[in-house]
Amino acid sequence: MDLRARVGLSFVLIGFFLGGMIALDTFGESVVAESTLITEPGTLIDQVFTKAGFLYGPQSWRPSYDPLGIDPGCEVLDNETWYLMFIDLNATPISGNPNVRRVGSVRITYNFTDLNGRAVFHVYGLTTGTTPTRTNRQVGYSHNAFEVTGTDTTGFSMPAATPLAFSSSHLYRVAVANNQLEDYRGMTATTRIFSFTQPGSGQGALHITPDLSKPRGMVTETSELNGAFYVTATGNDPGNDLILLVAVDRPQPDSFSLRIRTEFVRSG
Amino acid sequence: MAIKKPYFSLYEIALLSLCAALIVVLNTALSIPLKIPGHTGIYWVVPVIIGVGIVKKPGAGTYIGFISGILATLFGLNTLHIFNLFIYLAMGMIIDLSGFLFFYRLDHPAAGFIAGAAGNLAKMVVNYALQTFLGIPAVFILIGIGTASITHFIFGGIGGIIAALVLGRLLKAGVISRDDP
Repeated sequence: MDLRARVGLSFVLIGFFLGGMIALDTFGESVVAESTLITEPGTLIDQVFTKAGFLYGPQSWRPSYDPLGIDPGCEVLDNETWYLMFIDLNATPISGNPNVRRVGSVRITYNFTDLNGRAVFHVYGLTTGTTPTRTNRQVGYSHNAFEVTGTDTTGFSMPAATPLAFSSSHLYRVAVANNQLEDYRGMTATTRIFSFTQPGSGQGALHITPDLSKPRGMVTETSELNGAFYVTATGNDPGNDLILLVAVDRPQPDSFSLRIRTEFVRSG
Repeated sequence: MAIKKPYFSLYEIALLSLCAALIVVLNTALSIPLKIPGHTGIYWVVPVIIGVGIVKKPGAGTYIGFISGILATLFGLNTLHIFNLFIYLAMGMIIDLSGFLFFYRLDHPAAGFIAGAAGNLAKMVVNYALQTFLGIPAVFILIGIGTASITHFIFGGIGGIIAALVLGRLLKAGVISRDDP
């Protein structure tokens, strides 16, 4: 077979390969979703959490390379104490070039019952390898979070909560409140690992915003116990699974509940 | 006692090693903010194809891939660390195979295009396979893989043509000969 014939044959083979990739792109989602436990973008989680889901606290900080504050826009405030609940949202925003990726954000709908005091939402994006875990920026330019204030009667205790131990290795294994999800990395089903590699690492890739026209996020304060916000992503790697941090600044009544629903909203 | 001749001569080893190092240098020095998957293939495949086109021996591309993979791991060019090696090795092996199949006529633009495109596509496949192995849900990989394949094909092919043109000029200038071993 001469050179010209080999070149022609190679073009044909590569053409078949590209056709296969395009077919995978078009039909692959439906095939993969049936055969794995990994939830595809667009899948809803709809779960109700009680105050037993607050597994950490009382404490004044949330995990990062150096402890981050919880009060939106503030550094760690030692005079404040919070109770923390981590929720695996089983979704992730997708960023990048909309011409080659189906970009979108995650909409989180919340419904509080009998919330007392302030509840603040932050997010973390789990990553693989040595990429630092992502989180929303706490202070500085385009810092963002979502805060809800309730006026119900004070609770007396958060019996499930113990303070999260500070990690000098900047690696945290946190338990999530929704034990139903199987962790695809072979860890125990109820924990996730946050790993931070250097000061400030991981901040700025994820944003919390009530309005998709402001994708870089903002601090939102509301007294509406029912509402929604979005988690958007910028940069190359927002992570492959979102963990929602719900922090409340005082013990909640026994009648407290929080319903969280998530869905993936395509924008590209 | 007859001295066993090494497979690659000292000149060939030096040349292939320099080509491998050049890949790492190009990856470090060049940063094209295109945000298109595979756009780095436009320069990544060039040293490999030139090395294979000059040495004209099976294993030349594999050697370049192996050395550049080791160097990329040491310099931390990718978050995959030691798994980088497989990406560079895959590209080198496929270009090696392409050189063998095309009788080492990689100065021919069409052959160069195929070698570059195939090398860049192999890099993509291995990269995505590793991402899936390390825990990225497969469905996130599949989204956009069609377009990513096409862009890898195009940019790898352009890099292959560039390498073919360089080889052609080297041949024309007499720096290398078509009959060199």
